Amino acid sequence: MAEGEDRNNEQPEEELAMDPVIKHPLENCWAIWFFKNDKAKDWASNLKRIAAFDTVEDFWALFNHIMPASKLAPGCDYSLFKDGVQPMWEDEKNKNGGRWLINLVKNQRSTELDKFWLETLLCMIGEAFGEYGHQICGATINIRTKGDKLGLWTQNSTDELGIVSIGKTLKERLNMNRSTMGYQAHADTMSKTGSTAKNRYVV
Amino acid sequence: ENQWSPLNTEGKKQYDREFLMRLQYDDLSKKKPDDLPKLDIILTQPICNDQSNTSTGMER
Repeated sequence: MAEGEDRNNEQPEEELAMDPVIKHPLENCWAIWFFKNDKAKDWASNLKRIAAFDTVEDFWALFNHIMPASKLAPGCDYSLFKDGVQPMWEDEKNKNGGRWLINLVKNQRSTELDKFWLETLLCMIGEAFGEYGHQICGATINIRTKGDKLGLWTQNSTDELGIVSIGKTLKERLNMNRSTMGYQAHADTMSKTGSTAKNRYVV
Repeated sequence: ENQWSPLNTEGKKQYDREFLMRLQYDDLSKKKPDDLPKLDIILTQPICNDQSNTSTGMER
């Protein structure tokens, strides 16, 4: 019958522009951490560094092989920090810093959480914060029954110019233009008496 | 602009969203990293193989 019919099986060659051998290097080396709330162990031994990477492709290889944040059990966290910085307040790079905090409501776990988290990661590894990128320490997503939280951590809670610029960029990238977002110093979060620390900055 | 490229390896390593997203389904991006710790959150197959592209929106 009709010979040559299946000649249009050829793959479209649209990826020619990307060299398959060279990986795209990142400005920084980053590590992904996982925290699981196991009450039988202390906080620090529940925290595990999964792996570090310094190219775009290696980021995806890792991201594509870990469970999406929305599927984690309550009490778990993912963190992405510059390699060498531990995802805790006590770290040298964090102790004078703070975080932009986004509180998510319940139904956002299924609709927005994974998108927000990925977007935050892409901002960090792609250096979307430009001249203030050196202020970034990392980001954490907390899965909690009471409400999930996303925090973007910076290293100096008094650098208003940098912090506000970073906050505006994040808000814009998350398309959150109709709501506000607060920045809290870790020192205030540690010493808080009520359930929420005061906001040092708001965008 | 002084952006990193294979031909300008001293350039700035800044990547926009679109560029990063385009690489998610590259063969290198689907290869499971070696030496991952044994945790129940580690997947055997890449995410992008078992779902449609709904979670990442803008992609092909």
